[in-house]
Amino acid sequence: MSKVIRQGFEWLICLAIGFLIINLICFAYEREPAWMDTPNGATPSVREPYSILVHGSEGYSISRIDKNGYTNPDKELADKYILMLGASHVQGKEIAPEKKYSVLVNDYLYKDDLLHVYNIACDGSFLPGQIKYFKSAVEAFPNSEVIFLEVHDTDYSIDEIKSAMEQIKYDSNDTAAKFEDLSLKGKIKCLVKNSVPILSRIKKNIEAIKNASSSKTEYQVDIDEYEQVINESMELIRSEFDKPIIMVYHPRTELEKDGSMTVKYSKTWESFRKACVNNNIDVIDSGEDFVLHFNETKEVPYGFSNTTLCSGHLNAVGHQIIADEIIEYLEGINN
Amino acid sequence: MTFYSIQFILFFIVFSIILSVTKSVEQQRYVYLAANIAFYAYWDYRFLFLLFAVILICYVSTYLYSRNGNKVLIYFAVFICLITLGVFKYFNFFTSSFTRMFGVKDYVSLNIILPLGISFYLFQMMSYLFDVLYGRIEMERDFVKVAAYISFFPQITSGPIVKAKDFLPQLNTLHKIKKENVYEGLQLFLIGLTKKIVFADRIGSAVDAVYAAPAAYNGISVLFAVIGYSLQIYCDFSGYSNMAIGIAKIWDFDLGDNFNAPYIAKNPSDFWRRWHISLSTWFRDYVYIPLGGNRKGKLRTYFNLFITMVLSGLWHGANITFIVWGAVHGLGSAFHKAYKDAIFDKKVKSGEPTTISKIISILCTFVFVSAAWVLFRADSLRDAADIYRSLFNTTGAMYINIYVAIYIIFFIAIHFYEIKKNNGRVLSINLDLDKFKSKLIIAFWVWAIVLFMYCGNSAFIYAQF
Repeated sequence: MSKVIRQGFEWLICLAIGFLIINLICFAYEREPAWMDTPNGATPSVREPYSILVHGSEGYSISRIDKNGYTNPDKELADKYILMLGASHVQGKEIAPEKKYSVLVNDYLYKDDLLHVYNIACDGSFLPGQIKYFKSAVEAFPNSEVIFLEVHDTDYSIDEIKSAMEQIKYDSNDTAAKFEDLSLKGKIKCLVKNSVPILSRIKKNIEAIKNASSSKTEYQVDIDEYEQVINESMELIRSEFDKPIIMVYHPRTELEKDGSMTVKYSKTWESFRKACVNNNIDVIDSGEDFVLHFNETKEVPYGFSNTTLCSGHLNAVGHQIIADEIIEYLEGINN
Repeated sequence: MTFYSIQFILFFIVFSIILSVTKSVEQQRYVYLAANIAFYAYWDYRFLFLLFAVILICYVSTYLYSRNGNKVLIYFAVFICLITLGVFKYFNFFTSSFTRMFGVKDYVSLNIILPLGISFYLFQMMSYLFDVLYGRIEMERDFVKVAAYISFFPQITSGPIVKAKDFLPQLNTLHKIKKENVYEGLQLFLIGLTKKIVFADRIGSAVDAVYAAPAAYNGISVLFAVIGYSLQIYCDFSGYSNMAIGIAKIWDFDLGDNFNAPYIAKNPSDFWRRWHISLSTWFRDYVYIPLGGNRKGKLRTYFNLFITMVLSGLWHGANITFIVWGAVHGLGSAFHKAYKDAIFDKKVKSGEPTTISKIISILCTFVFVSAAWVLFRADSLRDAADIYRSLFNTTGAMYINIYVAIYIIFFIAIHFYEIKKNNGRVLSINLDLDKFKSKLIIAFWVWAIVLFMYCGNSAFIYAQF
């Protein structure tokens, strides 16, 4: 019996050592820093300020989180700035920090050492999330001169959009500063998230397995009703910010059998675009430029050499194309 | 219920406990059969009836044959196996090919679902019938034993195809779950799991992208995908075999080897001695040799090789691509045999081949096999032609998947070791898990799988056959 116990104990020790070694490797491969929900903040959540984000499972990058919990260069914010909202695409955690479009635009248009383009993108903050948090983002960053929203897909249910229009009430205390006043439990939670990155990897693996086995349902919506609600939601955000609002829409792309690359627009894209135009919200549609760029260079806007092309997040090429479009747009309104 | 699902782990633990408390060989056979039924029913209970109906017909045929010696009974049972395979697997293919050839317009294909593992268990069934017919084994009077053999759960979905003469005797002994078997089985399982969910599935995602739109990629990327597929199918199928053999090993069964470093084969015939060994030997024993093998002159030998490989191709699936793939391998094997007969034996009989000539042989064989895999992977001959054409694309997206590149280098290193240090045999790992260091290696390995596993689509390629 004692031999069995000893063997069992040895296995536990070995599993623990193996776990530690692999966890160490995670620091160079995939390390998600601690994050915190900010239900009444400018975005649904923020990361721990000044922590390091390593992302190696799709593309590869190492980014440092800024003092507000977002992925921006370590610079002071200018008095007036451009605010960029969006989801993971805008964060650009798959590419080198200097290649993401918020940084490219900033570095191209402004030569001083200040941050004129501020990126508050947050994982999972898709169109409904951006509508829901739009007002609070405006309140949290009152010196915004222009606001860019990022849209990868416009196909959302009526309920999702209606729910997004019930915007949250901004609380100026619900920011990354909360990390300084954490309870003991909160501190331990953060410590675990920061020092055991493999746990986050395992969680993502489980989610990916579930997603792979679940069947996707075809998107169905009453287009008339959609047009009405999306128009109301655009009207709402328009009423909350009297300076330029721009929707950056970057549709999915697909490589075809004949060697071409095609753009897959959302079913509701036209209705969405109309709602933007009706409410004086400018739209940048990257689809055409994606195709033109592919035809010229054979480079695709999505995908990485450690995943597959034309799938997943925007790569450096995609960010560059969007940055060029934004620069062109901004130069246009400045002239 | 894949081998690496929670359901399977629970299923295996429960039946292992039941097995370890059974006291007699007869009781254990019932445990195997119950496990097989539970396993198969979990996948698809609708075809259990078919499986056991075929087993029953074959059992009765061999029983009657053993009483009156009438070979027609065995032929009848073989016919039943072939007709079952024909209806479920090939009916639509042959009828649609026939109607297309003769311009019949009002043809409606049947909506037939392919029963899981049908190609594997029917081939095992036929192996039993032939072994009885050729007198290699006695007719088995215990129905439970025959049923337990044919439906043995570790290999029913994707092989290996274990021959009756090798497996049935193993059902005559009391199987105990021994420590050394568990250690060996676990390590085999881990090797298989790594090949499958770390290597094959990730390579597959990269390969699928290129095969879906080859014209969009440049020639280098397409070439890379073609090589990638060679590695994917090897890791996928040999990974499954490793897991199946490992699981059986834990229960003290020996299913034999199914792969032996196939990509260091020096010629097409050598490749088939190393790839899917259980199927190759099945065709050798039950098709090639009965056709006359190499006993009826050179031309007949080449023909026999060719026809055996065409049938082997057809076994893989009801598609012209598989038949052409088999034919290409048949031609390769026949040409190699002819070359060996005509030139090689006369000229180089005196000396051993040099290292350079060995490397060239291995590379040429790999190129041949990889080029043939394009046919195997493609959905149609037109798609295969697109891939071959795209190998010469001068423009297109550049896509060299980093993981695939790393895995290719890793396998080159392994193969190099197998050639230089392991006498051309597949590298096996059998650590003594009583030692702390070995436990540490295994623990690290398990966590590494967790970190680097691919979590997307993970269906086994050979499960479709």
